[in-house]
Amino acid sequence: MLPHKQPMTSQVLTYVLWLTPTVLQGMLAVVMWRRKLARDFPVFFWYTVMHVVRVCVNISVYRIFGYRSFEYFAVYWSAEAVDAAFQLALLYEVYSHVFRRYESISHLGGALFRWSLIALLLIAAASAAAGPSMGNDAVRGAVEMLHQGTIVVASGLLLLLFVFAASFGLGWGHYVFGLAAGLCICDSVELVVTVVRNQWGPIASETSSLVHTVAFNCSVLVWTWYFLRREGTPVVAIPAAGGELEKWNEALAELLNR
Amino acid sequence: MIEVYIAASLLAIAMMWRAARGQNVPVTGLDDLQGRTLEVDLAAFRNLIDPAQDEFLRRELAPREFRAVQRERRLAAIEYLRRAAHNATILLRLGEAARKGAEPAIMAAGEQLVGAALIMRLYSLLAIAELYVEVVLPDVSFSLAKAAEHYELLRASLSRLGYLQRPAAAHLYTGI
Repeated sequence: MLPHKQPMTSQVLTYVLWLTPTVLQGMLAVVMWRRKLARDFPVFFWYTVMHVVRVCVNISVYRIFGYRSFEYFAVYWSAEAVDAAFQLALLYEVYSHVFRRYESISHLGGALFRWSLIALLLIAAASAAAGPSMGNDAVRGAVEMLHQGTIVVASGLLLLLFVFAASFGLGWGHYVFGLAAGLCICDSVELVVTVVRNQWGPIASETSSLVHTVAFNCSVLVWTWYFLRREGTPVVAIPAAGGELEKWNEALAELLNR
Repeated sequence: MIEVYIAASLLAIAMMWRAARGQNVPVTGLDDLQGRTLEVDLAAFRNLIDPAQDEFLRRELAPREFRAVQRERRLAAIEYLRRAAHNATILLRLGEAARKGAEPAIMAAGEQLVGAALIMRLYSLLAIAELYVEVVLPDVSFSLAKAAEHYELLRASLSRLGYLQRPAAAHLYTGI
């Protein structure tokens, strides 16, 4: 959220952390459009544009109605809902790009996404039900729980994809990896931050908001870095060569010779 | 519950870091195979998973000794499969690079290598899981012949691609 009633230096820092990614995302959208990458990554392109528009709208509403107004609350959380929908669509885009490269397992991508989504939705619902009581501010509590559920689903889907790709030795491709890495940084930090905030309430609110904003800045930097550079070789983790076969052979020979 | 979420977040970051490190080891041609692949003795692997050998050892050894020998045989087979899976990852990259080429025959051979490598990865994962079950329960037995067959198929796909790309460079991949 935007800064409110903070010392001057802290307010400046918060504005910098808000405006830097917005400027970078504006640049990113232009670069994607010019390099025709918007056609390959339509969801990511519109997600980027949406973020720029969102910050402009949020700042305007904040300046007109103030931080504690209902208008700001409504605009902020409506944008969060749109953001959540975009996140899921973005993850589907990442899954499609990773699996599209491999004809023999391309059908697995959709199935993995669907089933993981269902399982994670159940986990998120169970986790929200087991969470702390919402107290007097029921609307805000419900919104935050919904937000936590989205982040649980998004982080889970990303983690599963990373594990699956590592198990099969799948390559990512330059842009897809950049996109997934940026999402991973942002979602992983946001998952911890949201859970901590929901658990400890307002005490952790200020710090968690700052940590989340810093993480989002890092994600935007990663996206900018990958999308400004041209595509190179595919990305994959190749384990170091080596093994213990000789040791097993010796042990086996020793047993047989006894 | 917070601990679970923190652990999941850290794991996601670690997996991302692992994938990012892979950028430093691109495989674009046959020359890149040297020093990156591991030797797999397919005949020895076949012997280790041969049901007839299992039966022979069961007959010849005391039950306690048989269980100990079987355990060692299964662990050795797991190591062979790990090597095969490692090679499959490298060959997957090689296949991907080949299918980006301009010559249709090489592109088709690259696609075939990618398919064979993916299947090998899948079979290695399954076979390693089955072998671990056999390590814990030596009397349980799974048929693992398919893993050896798929590795042979992977080798054949590599030879085909190697022949099409550089017929004189067979020495670069004979040990795989």
